[in-house]
Amino acid sequence: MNDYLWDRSGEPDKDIQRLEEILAPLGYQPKPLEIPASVPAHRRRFLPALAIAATITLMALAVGLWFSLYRSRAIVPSQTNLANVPAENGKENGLQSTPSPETVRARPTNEKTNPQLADAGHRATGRALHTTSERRSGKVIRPQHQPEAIADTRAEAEAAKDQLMFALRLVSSKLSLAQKRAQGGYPGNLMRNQHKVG
Amino acid sequence: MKSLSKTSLRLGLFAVFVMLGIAANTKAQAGKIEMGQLDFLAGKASQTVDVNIDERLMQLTARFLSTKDPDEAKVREIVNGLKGIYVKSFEFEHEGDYSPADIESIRSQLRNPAWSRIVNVSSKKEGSVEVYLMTTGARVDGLAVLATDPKEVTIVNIIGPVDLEKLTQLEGQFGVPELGIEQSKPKQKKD
Repeated sequence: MNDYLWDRSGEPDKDIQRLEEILAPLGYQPKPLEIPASVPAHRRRFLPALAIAATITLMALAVGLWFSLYRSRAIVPSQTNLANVPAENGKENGLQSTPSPETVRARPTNEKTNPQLADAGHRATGRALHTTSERRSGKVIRPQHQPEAIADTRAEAEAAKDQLMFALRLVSSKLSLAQKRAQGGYPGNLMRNQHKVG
Repeated sequence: MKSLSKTSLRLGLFAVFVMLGIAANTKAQAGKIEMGQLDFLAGKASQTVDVNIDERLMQLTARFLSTKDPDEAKVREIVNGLKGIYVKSFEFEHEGDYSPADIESIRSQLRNPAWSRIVNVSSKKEGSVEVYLMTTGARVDGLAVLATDPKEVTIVNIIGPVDLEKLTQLEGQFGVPELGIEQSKPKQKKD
């Protein structure tokens, strides 16, 4: 038995030798890798730079988003809940004034004018910050700035309310004046036109 | 060629973003009158009123208006949906302390086709009151009142859906005396 085809031992067949000679150039010939000069090398440098820039941008966006969410959770929910509690009483919209002992302790003495508002504000702010802190560490951190934040919001709203009332009265008076004079309240006046100008 | 098409694609995208930004800004500012040019009058005026209530402040204030008190409920109804109220009023010691040219910047904005002057009453002695509305179809998007007399200039700008009738009826409410303008009442027949 000839084992030439198995392990090249024994006498080779002539046809096989001829085939080997013909196919020899197509066999594996070890040589170093040659990279064509036409392949641009700078693209490899550009991609990491782009990736780094994109990462930095995304991180900046994420940090900005996180800050805005953190701030809105700390303040806006308290305002929203304040809105649900009418100034007269706290029983509308199903909100009952049943403050917990913690809430009562946290309430400052100068918030006696409307306890329901104060309770709702404290509970809302506390709930919002409680949720944020729970997510982070699993512990509840009682913020110290709740009363100040609510007092600031209320003061801002009261000031804005005064401004709003004044502005509405002013515009109302001017509209009434225009109406009266247009209806002939002042004989010397003219209602010149009621059509588009320009 | 490939880089050129990429550059033009990027420029196109940038232009689209810029246009979207401008459109969003324009929509947000629709009905807003720029009054900053009048600030110099504060130096000449004996009394200045400057009210700036933007949408955020408006919403915050509306929450503090009671639903039980009929007066405040009425105000709440009026301001519901409003996006801002801006007032500038200057009172002067003497006649001629301001000139019509000083408020030309306001008038030029109100000449925009978006604004329609619905009322203009004027007299040399009493001054003038002009009422402008910005409308989209039947919906009112803004109101501007320009009231001038020899010693006073008042500009009011309300952004959002305004109910003129309700607004006119507000004067003299909230326990505050009327500002001197009476509502027209039907004459009663004498027997």
